[in-house]
Amino acid sequence: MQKTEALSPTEPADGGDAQATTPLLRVRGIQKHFASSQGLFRRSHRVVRAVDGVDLDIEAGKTLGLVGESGCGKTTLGRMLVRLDSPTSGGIILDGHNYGAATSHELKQYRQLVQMVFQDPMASLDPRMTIGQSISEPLTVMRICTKKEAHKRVHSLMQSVGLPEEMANRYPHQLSGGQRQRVGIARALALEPKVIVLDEPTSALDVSVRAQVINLLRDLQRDTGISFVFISHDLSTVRYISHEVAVMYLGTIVERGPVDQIFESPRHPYTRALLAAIPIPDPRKEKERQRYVLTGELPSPANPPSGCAFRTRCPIVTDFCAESAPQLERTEDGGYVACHFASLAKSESGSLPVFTDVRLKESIQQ
Amino acid sequence: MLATKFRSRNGPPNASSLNHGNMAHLMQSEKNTLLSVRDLSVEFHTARGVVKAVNSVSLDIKAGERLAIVGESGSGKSIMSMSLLQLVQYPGRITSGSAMLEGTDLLALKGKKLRAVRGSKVTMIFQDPMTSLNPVLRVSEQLIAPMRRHLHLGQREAKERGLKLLAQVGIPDAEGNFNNYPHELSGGMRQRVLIAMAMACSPRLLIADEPTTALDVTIQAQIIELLAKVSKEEGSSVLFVTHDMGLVARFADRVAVMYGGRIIESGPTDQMFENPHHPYTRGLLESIPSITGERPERLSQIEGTPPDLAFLPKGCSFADRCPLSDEVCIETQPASLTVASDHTAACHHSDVVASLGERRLFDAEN
Repeated sequence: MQKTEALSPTEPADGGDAQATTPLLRVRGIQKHFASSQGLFRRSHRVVRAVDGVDLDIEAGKTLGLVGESGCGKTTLGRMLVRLDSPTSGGIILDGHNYGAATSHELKQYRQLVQMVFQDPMASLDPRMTIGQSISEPLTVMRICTKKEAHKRVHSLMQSVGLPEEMANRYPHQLSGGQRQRVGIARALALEPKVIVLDEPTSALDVSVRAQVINLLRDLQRDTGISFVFISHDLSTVRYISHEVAVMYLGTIVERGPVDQIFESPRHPYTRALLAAIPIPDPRKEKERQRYVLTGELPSPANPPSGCAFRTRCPIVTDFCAESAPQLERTEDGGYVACHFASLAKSESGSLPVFTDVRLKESIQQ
Repeated sequence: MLATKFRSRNGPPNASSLNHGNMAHLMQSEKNTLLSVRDLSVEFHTARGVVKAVNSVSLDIKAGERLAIVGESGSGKSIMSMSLLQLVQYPGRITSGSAMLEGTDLLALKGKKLRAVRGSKVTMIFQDPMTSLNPVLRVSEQLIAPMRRHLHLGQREAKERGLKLLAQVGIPDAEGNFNNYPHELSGGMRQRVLIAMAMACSPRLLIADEPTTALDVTIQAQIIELLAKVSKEEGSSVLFVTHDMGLVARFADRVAVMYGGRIIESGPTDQMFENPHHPYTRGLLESIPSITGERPERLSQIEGTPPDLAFLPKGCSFADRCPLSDEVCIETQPASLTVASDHTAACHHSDVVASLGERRLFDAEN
């Protein structure tokens, strides 16, 4: 099932990329296809392309924000990054080794370096294990230290995420949501990984507790130089915590680049629509804002549109978009965008380019 | 959804509100209060003790007004809104209070009279559109039921109006979707169906409990626009329960902030955002990262967690998290005082909060 093209570890990041530093973790052409069986006796097989050829670079000590709507494949991508799911094809290169099709022995090594924090801390902690046991489990499983040493490590880990030591003997249900998420983070930190993939780490938390967890993540990064992949649909948090942002739509990345470029001069119409859809907590700004409501919904990844995946909802769609799928191309301000008409969207930050398209007019008038 | 449960065919005459005099009535009573809640308390008698989910809440909604109830999980906002239709179930109990809607006390209604109000004069839409639609009934049956029941429409008339409603809430191919089952629709479409059902009998008050929380941002934007549109067209007031301050800014005319089962501050949206008088409101606004402007080194964070409603403190329930709290706060519960026109706050130090200006109340230090 797993066919992975050989990717030599020394291969440069991108053909003509003149990057000063090699990224810590490189993802190249990663794909995940799920077979879905349908029909009588489940005979007709359809392939759902959950992730369809994604390239990413994660720099040491930096945060990559991964945003998109549900069903866009961001969680599947995150799970592949920690190799909870194995990619159908493509490479995950960490420290010069390709772990895209790693054996279980190699995976053990890999998982020490890349850890994950899940959305719902109640579901991801064993209700019958104390907090201390949960945090020390990775240490004992990986045989990194003896139980006694692990015990000591637990205390320093708990301290680093701001949990009082005496909580080590409590059970998950005795903790609040924010505290549970701190436990999840402490457990991910236990093996001193280089990268932590955080899948919607604050979505299950209350507003007033969210800022606590975000601040904690920033502090940890500053102190330990760890890298994060921050998967979220909460764009304001992504903007706050990320250095780079990648926007996913239907299994592919439609735009990526430095955080300020994505938020201040987004090129892809989908990125613009996402930003316009976020309500700003300021009634005055809200009233002045241009209403740009995206029509339609995310198409099924089992039956994606031809050409550009976004064309069914795009306000600036042309006939050409149905024929050819745009590739991620480098823009002059350091980002990548996959849109045939990205250059038209240049330098009009916050507002959409004016097209004579009827659908765009309609959506603005709303 | 509610109306589908009610089998009785003999509704009282006042249930009919599909008349064209509606608008005229609205004009006449534009400044009038539609719903007036006084001293509403809801308690849950559990093994842990008495959980005071709602503590003598009073609020007014004017005709045609959109009021947002903001709060975290466990603040009592959902229970409060559900109790208006007496939907709180055992072990929950409404222990005191009244909710006057056009001369009738919603909390004193029983039996037939209560059923006549539910789904006609006052309707409700919930967070998860899948659980609030009956999975074994077609959309058509569920949509028609309230109209047959409350408006005494015949099957054909109800179907006609149902189709019109589906088109009105932006369901493409209303004819084709009319006979679908809920699972055949997407989340956004289901929420549109619920809105159509809720608007079917031109309610005076629509209660929307986190109607967009389960939806993606681009769909959320669509649903919010739709809610604003239909409520305006029908002249209905909306009680909008949410935890998202951005949505409040976009949608609401007035805001009431709940904390620990009480309304701690309420006022017109613009004033509440510009000049909050309660430290909790202030903290909520400070802790949200912005999608524009500068990114601070750290986010303001409110320390601690929301209070346990079973063990509410004697004094102010926010005192243990508040940077301004002193002995007075711990000893005595602040009364809700008018701080500006139509703006009330329950804080001993509201003048200090109001005079902060640009300065932050919740510092970003650890």
